[in-house]
Amino acid sequence: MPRQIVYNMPLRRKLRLVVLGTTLLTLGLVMLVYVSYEWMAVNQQLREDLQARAQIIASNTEAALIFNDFVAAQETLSALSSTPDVVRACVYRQVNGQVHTLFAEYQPNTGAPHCENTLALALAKLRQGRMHAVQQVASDGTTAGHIYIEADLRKLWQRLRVVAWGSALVTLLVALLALVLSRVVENAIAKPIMLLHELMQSVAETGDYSKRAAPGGQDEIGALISGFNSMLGQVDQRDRELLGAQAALEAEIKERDRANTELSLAMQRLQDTQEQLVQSEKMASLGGLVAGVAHEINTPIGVAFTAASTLQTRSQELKAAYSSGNIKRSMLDKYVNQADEIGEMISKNLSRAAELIQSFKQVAVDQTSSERREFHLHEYIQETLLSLRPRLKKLPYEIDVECPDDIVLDGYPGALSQVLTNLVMNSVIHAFEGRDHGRVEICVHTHDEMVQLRYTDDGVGMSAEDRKRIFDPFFTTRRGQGGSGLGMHIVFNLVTRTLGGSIRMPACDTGVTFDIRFPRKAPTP
Amino acid sequence: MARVLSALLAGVLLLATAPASHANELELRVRAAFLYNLAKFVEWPAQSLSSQQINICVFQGSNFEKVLRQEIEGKSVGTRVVSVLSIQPSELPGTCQILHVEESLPREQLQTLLRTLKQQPVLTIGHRPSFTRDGGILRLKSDQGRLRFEIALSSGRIAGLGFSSKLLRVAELVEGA
Repeated sequence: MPRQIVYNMPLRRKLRLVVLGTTLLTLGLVMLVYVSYEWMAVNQQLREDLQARAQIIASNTEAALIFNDFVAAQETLSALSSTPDVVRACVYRQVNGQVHTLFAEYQPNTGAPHCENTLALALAKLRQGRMHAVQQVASDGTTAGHIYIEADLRKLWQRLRVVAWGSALVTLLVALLALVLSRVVENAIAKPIMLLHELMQSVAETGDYSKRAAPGGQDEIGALISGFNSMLGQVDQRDRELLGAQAALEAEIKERDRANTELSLAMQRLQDTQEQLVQSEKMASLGGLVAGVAHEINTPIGVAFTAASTLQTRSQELKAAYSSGNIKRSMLDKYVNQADEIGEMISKNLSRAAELIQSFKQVAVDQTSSERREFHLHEYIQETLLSLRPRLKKLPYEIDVECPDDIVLDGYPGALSQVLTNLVMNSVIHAFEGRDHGRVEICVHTHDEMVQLRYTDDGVGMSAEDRKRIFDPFFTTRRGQGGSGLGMHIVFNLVTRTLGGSIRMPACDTGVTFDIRFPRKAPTP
Repeated sequence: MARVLSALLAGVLLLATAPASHANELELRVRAAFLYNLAKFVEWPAQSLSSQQINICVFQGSNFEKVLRQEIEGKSVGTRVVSVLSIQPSELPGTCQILHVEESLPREQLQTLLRTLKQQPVLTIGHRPSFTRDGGILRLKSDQGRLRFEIALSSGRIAGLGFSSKLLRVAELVEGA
């Protein structure tokens, strides 16, 4: 956690912490070492001092010991009163080489106990917080006795107190100095960084990359500032370049838009043209239909006309005979029989023609108009095929229709008629060309509301490549021979758009197959 | 040697209880040790002293001579060896460094002797209360059973002798003649 706290600290405080912390820590260590050293040195010095005093006393009491003069020894010892740290001093006299008996004593009123009777006892009762010195009193190579001096540590404490106060004072001064120094360092390091930080924030808020920081010195912060400035410059320049690129892109997009508009106009024109072509193709096929119808009607009308002419001739013959009066009964009988026959023939042929006209009319009307009505599918297929008969009659082709009788559709019969016409005419023109026989099957099923119509012929069939393009507009294998390439395209459009269904051309071994699916009820356009 | 000295010092302690009126054997031994110790704290002029020995002189035929010879003859003071010489009272003790004068010597004879020895580097030791007044340098006395001594520093200076301050510290200093 303390690391997190330091990490999140403001730079200013961090610097101050570093400067003050380092200084005080170093100073503290130095002080510690100094005080320890001082302690040891003073201790040593006091010890030596005490030992020296013991030596002096030893020297001065030598004669007293030798001449057994304890008064003189006492006097010598009383000189110690000038050193208040000495709490007691004892002079022991060596009597038998080993036993030390108390000879003289110095004991100012310090509360310290009196001297023990022998040196050994004194040494055995050393006390805490005191220092002592033992000095042999030598006299010409022999030991006359021993001096024992005991002192308290007041000098040491005095010295240490002085050192401690001095250290505290120095620490205070150094701390103040470090504070001043840290201010200087803060101004040199933290301030430029703070300014940089403020600038950065202002740039981030306003997005104005043209701002620049005031240049710094030659140090790392100066490098940071100049680096930041150059970065701002680069961003600024990139912004400008980006704006330029954007403008260029917009111009290009406008150009493209214009091209697109032109293109879609061209496309519109193309579609219009295609529509016109499709329309004219329809008219052409209608023309073919009319020609076929005319041809078809020609026969019954011709027969009826011939019969009528014959009836007229017979009537004139009968009229002439009746006027001349040489009419015979057999003649009249024969005429009545003939007239009956001829009338029947005329009636039959004319009704045939009327029937044809009626169906052609229906188909033609359906093909040229997009009128919606209900119609009977099977009958309508038959009518359509009937309208084609003039074009198929001379050819040895069969058309089989397999369709349930009860299918009634609500939709556009003209579209269906055109689809069937186109498919049959394609079979005739392409599939059965040069053949002496051919067979077309139209097979209808219903699945719920969907009608499935399968158209099959056993002609030459189509290559897979041609099959792929069969519904493309203007695709034809008879270019220049009267094929417009629009027939199957019209079929595709009629099935998908008008009938609202789909047409597929599955691959098969012989001939071609078209699968057409469309709903019973055509969608409203 | 240290043991002998210690024994002597023990004897000195015993003196405290011994009668001081007559000089018995023990007192003489203590006195001998005293003389020997004195030699350690006194300095003689360099030309008057051989580097090998210190001569302690007593008058012939005294008991003390025997004790001295027993106790301190052959001991060393520093580099020098103590030797005991016996002389006639009429003889001039020119080679002596220390001259011990018996109590029994008459005062007139003593005064003559001391006059003769004036300005000679000889440490004269006596017992009479008038000894220092008569020109003697060091007088031994018994003080409350303890053997003490007084020194006439001026007489010693005239004789050319130097006394260690340590010695002076324990001595009683008196006016000389």
